[in-house]
Amino acid sequence: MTRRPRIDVSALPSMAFGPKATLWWGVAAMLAIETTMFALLFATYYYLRGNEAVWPPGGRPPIGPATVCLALLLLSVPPMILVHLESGKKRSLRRMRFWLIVSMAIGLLALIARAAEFGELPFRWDHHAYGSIVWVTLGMHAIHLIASGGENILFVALLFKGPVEERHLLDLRLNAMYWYFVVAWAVAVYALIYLDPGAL
Amino acid sequence: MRLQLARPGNHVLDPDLYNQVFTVHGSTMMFLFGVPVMEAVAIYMVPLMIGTRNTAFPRLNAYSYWVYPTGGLLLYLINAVTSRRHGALAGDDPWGGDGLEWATSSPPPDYNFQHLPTVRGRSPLWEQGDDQPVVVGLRSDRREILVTRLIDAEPDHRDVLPDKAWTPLATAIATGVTFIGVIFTPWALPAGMILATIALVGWFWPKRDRPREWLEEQP
Repeated sequence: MTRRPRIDVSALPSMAFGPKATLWWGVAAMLAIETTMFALLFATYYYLRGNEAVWPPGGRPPIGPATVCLALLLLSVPPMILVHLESGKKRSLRRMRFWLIVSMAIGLLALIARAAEFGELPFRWDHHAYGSIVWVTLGMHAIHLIASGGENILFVALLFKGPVEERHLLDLRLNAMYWYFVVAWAVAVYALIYLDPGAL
Repeated sequence: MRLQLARPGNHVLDPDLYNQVFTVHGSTMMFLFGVPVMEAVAIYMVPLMIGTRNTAFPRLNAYSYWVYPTGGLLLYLINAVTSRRHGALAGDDPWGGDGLEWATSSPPPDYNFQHLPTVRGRSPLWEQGDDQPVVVGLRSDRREILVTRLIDAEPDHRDVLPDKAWTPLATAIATGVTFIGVIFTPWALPAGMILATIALVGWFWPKRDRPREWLEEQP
């Protein structure tokens, strides 16, 4: 065994970013699973819709709080992109802190708007099939919003408390990736529930 | 088997006995659990489902039950007796296997391989010559694994795995408590999520006593 040719890896770095990192694949796979989950919910929505003569039964929910929530979420993306960029090339801790706080704060406001959105729903989940699918779809997205928003709070705490290690820069970028995912599905869920596109 | 596998380098069972117990365990689960449990469920459920007092041949059924434990015990006894009297002892690689799991000793040492082996195909032990390289330079004072590139499998970086921690156990307990709790109240779900989150954050949070190697790379 010892006479064999050797590949010396001691000079290799202990970090990698993007698709080279194992953690990136973990998060990407998680997002793929959750995308499938949303796709199933959307398919369920259209299946139920095809079986009902009147859709939505008893009218659509009010669009106000939902629009506020979506607008806030879209507004939180540019600061998150700045965090993403800072964690990659420039690595200014001060700017990462600032933009992550901005994005996190807007995200928390969006969560409040989502709570109002639930309060405004004129039906319960057990009133009819439409009520069930709306509550479940909005609820699953709200869980992602809570999880990702909580992750933002965690990273703000980390950036202030420290020690910030290089691997946390990868975590920050994956956190940003998760946030983009949550906002992207917010757009789709909004379009499904409030615009109710018929042609599919 | 669980005791043997609980830690690397255990000697609860020697390699030969381990192989025997493993094989008998497999046969037991297949033929003495997997098949009979289906029949047991059928014998219990089918009369209930079709509204009779018993199956068509109750005596034959009872007979088959007594054949089953007798045959099962015989399987164990015959195996124990014959392998004590006959056959060569199994070594590290009794069947000339092709995979790397046969390249180490049995039971494997704590570190598995002194140097990380490389492969050039699906049957490394059959294909490689004396010039098959080994990987050196991984640190032994922390948990490191070598990550290779996706397309060409060239070494790319050394990923550092987490140290020993009690927090994954806490997460597992929180999850278990949650699943038991939701039997009684749906509020166990948010409560359990909070508990699991606390444990996970505890795992994630950087430790103060960690070697300050990465701190120099701070922004």
